[in-house]
Amino acid sequence: MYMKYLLIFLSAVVYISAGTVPPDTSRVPEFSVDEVIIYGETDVQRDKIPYQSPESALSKLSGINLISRGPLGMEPLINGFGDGAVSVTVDGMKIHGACVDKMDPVSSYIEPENLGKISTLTSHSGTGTAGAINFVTLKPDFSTPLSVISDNYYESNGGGVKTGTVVNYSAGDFAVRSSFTWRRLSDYSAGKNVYIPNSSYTKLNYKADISFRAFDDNMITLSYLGDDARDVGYPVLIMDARSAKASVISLGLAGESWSFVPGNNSLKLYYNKVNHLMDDYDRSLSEINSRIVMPGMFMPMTGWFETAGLLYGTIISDYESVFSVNLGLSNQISFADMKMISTTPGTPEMYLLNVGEAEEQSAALSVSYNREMVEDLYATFSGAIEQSFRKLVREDAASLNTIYEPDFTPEVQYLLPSFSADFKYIYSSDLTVGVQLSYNTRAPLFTESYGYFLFSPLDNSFYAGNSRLKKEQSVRISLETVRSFEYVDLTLKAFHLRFQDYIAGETLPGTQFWVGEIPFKQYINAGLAYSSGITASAGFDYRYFDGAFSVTWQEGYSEYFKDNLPFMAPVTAEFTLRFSEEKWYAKISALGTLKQKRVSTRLSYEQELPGHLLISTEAAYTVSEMLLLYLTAENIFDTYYVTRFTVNNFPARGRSVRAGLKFNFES
Amino acid sequence: MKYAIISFLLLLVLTVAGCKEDSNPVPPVINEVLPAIKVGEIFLAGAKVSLYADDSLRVGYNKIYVKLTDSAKGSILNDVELHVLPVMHMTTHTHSSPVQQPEICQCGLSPFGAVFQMPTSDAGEWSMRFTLNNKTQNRTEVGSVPFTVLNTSDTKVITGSDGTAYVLTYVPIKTPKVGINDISFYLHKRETMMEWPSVTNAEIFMTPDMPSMGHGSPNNVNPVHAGLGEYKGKVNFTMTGEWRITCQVNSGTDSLFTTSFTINF
Ligand SMILES: [Cu+2]
Ligand SMILES: [Cu+2]
Repeated sequence: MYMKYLLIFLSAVVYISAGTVPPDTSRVPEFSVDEVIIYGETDVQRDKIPYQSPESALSKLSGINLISRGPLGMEPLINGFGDGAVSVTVDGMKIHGACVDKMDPVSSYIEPENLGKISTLTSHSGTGTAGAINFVTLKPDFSTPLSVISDNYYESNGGGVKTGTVVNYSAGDFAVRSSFTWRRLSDYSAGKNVYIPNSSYTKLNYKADISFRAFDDNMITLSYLGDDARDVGYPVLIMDARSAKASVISLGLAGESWSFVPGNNSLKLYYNKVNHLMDDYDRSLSEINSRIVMPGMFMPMTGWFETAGLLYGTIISDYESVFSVNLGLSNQISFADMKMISTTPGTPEMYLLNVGEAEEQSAALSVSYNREMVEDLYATFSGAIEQSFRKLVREDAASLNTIYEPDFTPEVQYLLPSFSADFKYIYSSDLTVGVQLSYNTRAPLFTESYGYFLFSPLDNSFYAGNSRLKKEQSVRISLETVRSFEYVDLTLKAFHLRFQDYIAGETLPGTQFWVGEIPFKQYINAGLAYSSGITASAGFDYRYFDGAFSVTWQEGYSEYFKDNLPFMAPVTAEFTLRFSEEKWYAKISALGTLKQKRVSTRLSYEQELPGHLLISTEAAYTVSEMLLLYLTAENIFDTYYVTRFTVNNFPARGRSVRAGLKFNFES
Repeated sequence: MKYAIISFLLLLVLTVAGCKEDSNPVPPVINEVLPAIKVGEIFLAGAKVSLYADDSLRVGYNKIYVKLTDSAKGSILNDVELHVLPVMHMTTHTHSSPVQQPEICQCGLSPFGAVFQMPTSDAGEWSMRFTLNNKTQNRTEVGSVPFTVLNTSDTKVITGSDGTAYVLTYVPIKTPKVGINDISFYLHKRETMMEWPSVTNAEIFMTPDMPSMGHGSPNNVNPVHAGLGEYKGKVNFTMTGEWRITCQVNSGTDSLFTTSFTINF
């Protein structure tokens, strides 16, 4: 609490002292999108060293935290809210992981070699109730006849290696871009050299895009992305992924003249399928026999998630305004099941259907309009409406769901409206103020509606779906102001997010529902929940140096459960100092958190966390235009620490030194 | 005129009746589709008594069929009085088992139910004792058909806290499935070695669980008496595998006994 008042006070001081400078209208503010550029030549990418993973790029975005369950597949959260409340897309296409234990969030199927940028939206219509993340993949470049970029590294902790290569070739009206990435890690260690068993993985990723320019300005692009991860350890969970695969295919047409609709038209057909297989065969018999959930049995689980869809959009812009319309149609199907094979010979095998083919058809229409309203006041209005029809297809699954929900209804419809208004006022070239208001709704996840007997290690409970869940609603107000001085920018961001019909699990009464020691929960609409946060940051840029300092505070509370919301970040301060000149580049960063006492004890099973301080450094040397050598050292003091964003107080990675070289050839 | 009206009405009745196929006064025919197993047969009081079952007879509740035909003409006999009694001859003594008397069916195949509490073994053999009064010939005779009972664990004979021996029988669910299933039990008691009447006023508290996993299932419906000693309830199976159904049988507030059955699917 003191922190909150301190920040408000500090920011007030800064604003009062802001001088009045003549307005500068040459800056047309963009819609509020946070993004991190991964590949590509822009001045935003000041980090010279290639991102190790999509997660490491994601973590650069403000408000993003990642739940770590293992070395791969970290689940991104926006302001502490994850899957469901945050919708994740790849080039706007819907896609969802197939693991009911969330081992495979969408980010786990992508590699930095595929990515142009990652954007997050928090105050826009048509997102989840807490925001959206879109991974924008790179498309063939017509302006480069031939380029080869290759990033290769070795890292000390766990003996990780990676090789990733991107080739771009173009000739006339034809261009192709292809990437190949292979990553491998053996078991790593947490801080203080604590060995973590079952923490290795192997991952292969490939992408190919072929583009043709046809009929003047129009472009046809065929894209394929494949990802294949094997033997991925999830030390936090009771199982490891044996195989996690994704295939994403799309065919797009973009341009102005192919359609009778004015503006820049794009049409895309897409299909993706995610397959998941996990088991506990790598775990010791003593672990299997002594664990609290379903002891004494192996539990291989399978799951798949399939999406097919169509996206159409047009953007009509003139010098004063931008108007866009988007239409999306999609069909999604999800399945998950498991076997239970006793370690005691002679015990019959057991079988559980976890998601018996949940299916959804949805149609969404969204519009957005952006213009300068009055002098120096820019506004963006957006609205979206989505209608979804969903159903649990398999009858045996429906009869299972009836056990926990006697009034189970296999078919449900959701009408999901949303709208937003975003105002930005340019008081002067040194001072801008923005206000964003949004209302969003979301349908429950398939697992929330139809999941059956799903174990969550976060609160050590089994979960049953609830087919009659209402949509979750949220209202968000955000403020942002930037005050610029000669070498320093001060930014203050604050938000307040209120959920209505917040979806969470409530313990079913009576021990008849329990599974051994483990309670059974059912998803419900749990009334009002809210979260607020403030980030104050100062960025500076002076000659060869730049850097930033930021402090973030956040809290969340559920009125229904009288409990703090889970995954609220502790008070966190971050500091980075960067030096870059033509040949040399160096960066030091420090991240510290304060002790966290406000934790979620009913919705999750969080415990108080001590603070920690992490220091990391990196350096790079540009040998030539073709070669960059780099060295990074994460958690340089090998601190043993636990973040809020893990399960059962699992320790985070210890020190790791990574040495790599990036090769860049262009003709 | 009176006759004309009566004839007209008669004609009308006949015409209307003729429209309904099943009301045709066709003599009863023997159901040609006979149950799968023929247990045995005996000639008694001018009748051929044949015993059929859908499956091999086994410990537990069995549905049995008796077919009665005129031994000379082969036509269906239903003007009879028939009493059946399963009898087990053991080395030291003879006993009976719970049985429902057949209701003589026009169709020729009369079903009845019997609970066998022991399998055929070296210790004893089963036979079905018929007492048949063939009214058409006004003859009454008694005779027995031997049969074999296979072992299962669907029937439990337990001495209750009141000193009486009770017979609790689980009727196997035909095709157990995940989700809700109908489940039924028969409860009988031993009055004498030859009399095993049904118990109609007990309370059964049923608890399903998976012993290998240490969990049960919610929202089950305890079996309640539905006639002739049968108790019907509903059981939820949350997954496939081996389930144990524990029944606590009470009489009023007294717990008579507790026992369990195993279902694997
Ligand atoms: Cu998994
Ligand atoms: Cu089980």
